[in-house]
Amino acid sequence: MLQQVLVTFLVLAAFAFSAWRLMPARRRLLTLLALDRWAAGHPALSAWRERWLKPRIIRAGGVGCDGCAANGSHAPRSR
Amino acid sequence: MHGSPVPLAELRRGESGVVSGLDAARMFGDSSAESAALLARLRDLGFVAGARCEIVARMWLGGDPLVVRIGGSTFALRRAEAAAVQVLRHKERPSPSAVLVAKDASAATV
Amino acid sequence: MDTAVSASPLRIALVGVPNCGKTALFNRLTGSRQKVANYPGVTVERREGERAANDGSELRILDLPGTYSLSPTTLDEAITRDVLLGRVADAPAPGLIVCVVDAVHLPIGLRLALEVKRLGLPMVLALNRMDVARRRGVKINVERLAAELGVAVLPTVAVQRGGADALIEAIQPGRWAAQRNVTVPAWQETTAEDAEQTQSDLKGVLEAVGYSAPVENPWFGRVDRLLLHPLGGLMVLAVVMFLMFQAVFSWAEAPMDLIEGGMAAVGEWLRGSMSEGPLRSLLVDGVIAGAGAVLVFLPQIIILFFFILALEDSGYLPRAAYLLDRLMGSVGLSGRAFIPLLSSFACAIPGIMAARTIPSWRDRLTTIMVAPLMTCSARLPVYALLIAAFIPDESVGVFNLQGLVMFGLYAAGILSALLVAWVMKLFASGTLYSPLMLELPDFQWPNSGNLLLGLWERVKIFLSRVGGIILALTIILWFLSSYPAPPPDATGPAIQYSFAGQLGAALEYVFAPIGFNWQISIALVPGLAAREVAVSALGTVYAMSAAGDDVAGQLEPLIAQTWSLATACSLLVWYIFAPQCLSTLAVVKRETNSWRYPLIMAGYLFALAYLASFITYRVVSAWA
Repeated sequence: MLQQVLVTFLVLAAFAFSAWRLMPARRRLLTLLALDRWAAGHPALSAWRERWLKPRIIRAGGVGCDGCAANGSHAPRSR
Repeated sequence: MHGSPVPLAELRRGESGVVSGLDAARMFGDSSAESAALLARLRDLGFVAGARCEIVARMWLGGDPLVVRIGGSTFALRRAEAAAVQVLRHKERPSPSAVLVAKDASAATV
Repeated sequence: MDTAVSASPLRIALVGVPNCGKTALFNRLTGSRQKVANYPGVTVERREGERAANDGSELRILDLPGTYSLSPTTLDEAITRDVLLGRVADAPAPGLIVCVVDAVHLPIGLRLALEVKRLGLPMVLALNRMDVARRRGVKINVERLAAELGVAVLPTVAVQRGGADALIEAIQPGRWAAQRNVTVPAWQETTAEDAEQTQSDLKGVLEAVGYSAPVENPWFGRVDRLLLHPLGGLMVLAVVMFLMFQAVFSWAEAPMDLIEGGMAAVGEWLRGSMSEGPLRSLLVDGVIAGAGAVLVFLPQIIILFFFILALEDSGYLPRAAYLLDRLMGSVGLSGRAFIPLLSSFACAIPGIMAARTIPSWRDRLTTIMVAPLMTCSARLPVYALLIAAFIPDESVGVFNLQGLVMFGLYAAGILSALLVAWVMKLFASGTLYSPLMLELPDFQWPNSGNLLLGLWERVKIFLSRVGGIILALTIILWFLSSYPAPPPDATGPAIQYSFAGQLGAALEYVFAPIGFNWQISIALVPGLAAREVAVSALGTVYAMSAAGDDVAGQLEPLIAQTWSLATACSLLVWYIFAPQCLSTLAVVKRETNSWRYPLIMAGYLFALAYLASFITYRVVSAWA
């Protein structure tokens, strides 16, 4: 029984994670913004909003190639 | 040093000279804003009057691009970019008699 | 000012021309406390780090992209200027500027310093590479320089331990608190008069400090004569590439065996200690056999990037760009395309975004369309698996056959990119001039500290990818391969009755002509999200195809036995071309603002892949 529960949980988590990562950047940004609007109504969450949500929104607005192997491109950097 | 200024693009591998100035007209045949920006960048890189430069390498078929050493740094330039830089050629591999002549003449030149 | 001032961290920005050792200095100041991100809206890399100040507060250090001038010619340089002026969202103007100047190349760095000084922000000058300068006979009167500029000048040797101590002392917040609220003056474009003024100021300062040009190192000249020679240089480039791929195979053998053995041991232990059930199957067939199969290739990734980073740090890469510029120009690729295309060897996505630095739309489009053909690092596990299984570990003369084949695959990617670019050029009209003006930095021995930090970054990226998207997709595939469960009277492995099995059987009709069996066909589906997933998918699928309670063997010998050489070659060729990365197509859509180009890209790449695989399969089957 425990096995079934764990397996179900893991599989659902995998689906959710993949969906998030493979979502188009715009959809992800909109989701984060919707989340932000909802959290704005709950003052207790303000610390979480500032620390976790806001940087992610700014980052999502910019690049959005989250699932990619090389966010730090190896283009010749400044030496 | 001899002769009138030639474009940097015409120097051969191993030749050196002194920059006498930059000339936009030679780059594109006009002086658009783009060539002005490129000239400014060349100047910022050290291609200013009085700087000594030397051609380190040239690509086959016309020397585009070429590699020039100037002010202690090394740059790869397109032929068109190098064409804008006017250079007074150094005399290369002077024969002994030519050295004697140059020594006499050097009193008169800078 | 009260103590509240020390609570907000002092923001320090490092500015300097490219190749002045700024990043080495940044590493010295921040150690591993740094992260790489992007500036909002652009692809320019943003390096930020932290250091504890003496008074307990935080120093936030930003490594700005190298620039030759505050009049930018590329996006990189524009970002540097904009950050200094406080124009960039989420990047407030710095409270202190550290202008890093290479003592060996004083004029070019000092010229920028004079421009930056005119901004009026608090500033100190880090005179870097003083050790090299002394060796090359460069004399600089440091006190005089400080007097002339009116700012503190700190000699630094970024590559030595303790080499930045003087600088660290100078950037402590206590000295700069009073100037914390300086507003940046309105900035106007540099005029020709400004430029003249800067030049004459520069001349004055150089004379005053007694600067003389460095003594040329004769060896550098000799090496450069070979490396930059049109023929000799290209030969050296080819040899370096050969050696690199050879090493990727021979050096990786022992560590790979280690990882493989470890994974097998864990799998065995799980099998033994857990009762049969879905959880055990998920862990053993999904996680270990699946994601574990990709993890095995970590040593090869490390070796590959070791070479790339070492070449980068040594100063060789711009020389390669010079050698290839003519060739690239002949197929219509801008010289500026070298860096985006080089980035694509890690991953095409940053490469495609880096193409924004190309001014001409047609050049930029060409670069974007061919970037996916550059062998990205995600293809490496797939190539490595197939080569290890099918290419014998023999020597051909001095070269190792496996390394040669790997090199051949990379070369095929590059050649096809050149071909496609050339075809695109046939449809284009007219040429647009694109500037080169590339600095070829002095050679230097790659710095081991920088190298290790860079490699560590790569390892983290790889591990987070394996533990993230690859693991998630493998679990999903496991799920789809396990359900629906086979009917009680079933013969054959359970997987054939599942979603995945049925999908695979259907896809096999499409892929049979090019030699793919149903396992490969099904593995290609999650492979659309991440190329390496094909390896983990194959691992899972084969692990679950083991009938009954048989111990699933290692993936490599399994496919070596069950696939034909023709199938393996066909799959290799498929991976050279196929657009197995939806994220790449998504980025192309964003960068080109239309569906047309990503659809064209997907179309031509799939067609090319199918055609090439078909030819390969038929030829190898007939000949082998």
